[in-house]
Amino acid sequence: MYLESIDSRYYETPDGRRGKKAIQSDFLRRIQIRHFLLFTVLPPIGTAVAIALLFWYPLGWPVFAIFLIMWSITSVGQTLGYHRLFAHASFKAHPAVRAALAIAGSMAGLGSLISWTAMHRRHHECSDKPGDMHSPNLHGETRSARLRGFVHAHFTWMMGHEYPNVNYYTPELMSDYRLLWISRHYMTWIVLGLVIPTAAAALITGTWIGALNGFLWGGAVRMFVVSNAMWSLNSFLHIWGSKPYKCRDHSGNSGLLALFSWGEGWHHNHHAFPHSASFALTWYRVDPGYYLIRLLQALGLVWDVKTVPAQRLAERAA
Amino acid sequence: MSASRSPVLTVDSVRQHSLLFLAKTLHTDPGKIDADADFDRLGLDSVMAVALILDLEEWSGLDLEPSLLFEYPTINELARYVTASASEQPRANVA
Repeated sequence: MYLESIDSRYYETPDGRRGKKAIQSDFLRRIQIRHFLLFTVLPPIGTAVAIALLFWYPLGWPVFAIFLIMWSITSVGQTLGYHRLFAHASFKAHPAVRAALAIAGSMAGLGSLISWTAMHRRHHECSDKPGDMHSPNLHGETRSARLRGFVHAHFTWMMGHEYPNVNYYTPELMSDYRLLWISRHYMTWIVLGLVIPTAAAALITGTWIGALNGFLWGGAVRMFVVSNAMWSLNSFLHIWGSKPYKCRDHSGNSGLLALFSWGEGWHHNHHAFPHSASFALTWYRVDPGYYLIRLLQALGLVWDVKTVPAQRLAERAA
Repeated sequence: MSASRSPVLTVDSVRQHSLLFLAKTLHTDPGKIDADADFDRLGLDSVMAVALILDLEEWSGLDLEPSLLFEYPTINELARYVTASASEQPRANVA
């Protein structure tokens, strides 16, 4: 990423060229609407069907276990892979771990690896200011404006938004052939994330209804739960939540959300110290994602795990 | 202004620049990329297509639409379009 920037719209290269940091076009909007319909609108519909089916067919432990496993795999892919490893380089990992996390994160259906990472880096650069594509705080101060801001930040922003320049925001991913290949095959990983729970449930239960429940709970419901947890960071946690550190945006913490999002609920901590692999920052806050990083480190699969010294935390205390 | 800031836009220079970008991204030799092959066949998805257009914008100083790669689906067709449009719009990087 070039160091010298003009504003949130343009960057300048060392040899004096000017490039766009983000663009908008009808062509991109069509892609965004298609993605929105497939992975934002369909999962809640699938979830409603899954819940309605419970009246006739009880869930059963195998399908519930499949839901939990798929929820864990894709949540970990999101928080450890997309977020802590690729967007913020808060630790280093074996190439096989990098690939596995990239694929698991893709299955969540929140965007291809490179697009998501570029959007997330732009979110941090412009947090709660013009250019932040999913801030709830840029719609005005009236009650209805704040409600509009909340809905925008939670999910309607995905119907059409600025698209960041991946050459500017994610040059190292664009030049990593393996990760670019994984990112290009985004749809394949999503389909795989639907086929695996369906096939597993079919094999275990031996019934068509079992397969359908596997698809619905391991696919649609799991996508609904994981995506809503991630979107809640943009909506709830850029309006409410505790703010224990000095930070220039409106991000907040929620220990409750952290429990259901593998530690992502410590969103304010993350904005205050974006390069820390630990979002909890302290031992008494629960951060399952960080515990998993420590476990992988003990196994020699990840290393150079970045943390924030206690003195630095004290200096930034609000 | 340095020469690198305002490249001379010819079909050949745009073709060369596009080939270098794609070769770097696809991890291959520029000589192995067919400038008459469809971008689809070269393995470009929408993310890479937009990345190529934005890279060409930064390099040339022109305003280019992301959908261009679908209207001009080979490197040669794109290079001809970019060169032609250079005479019709001001370039941001030319002093």
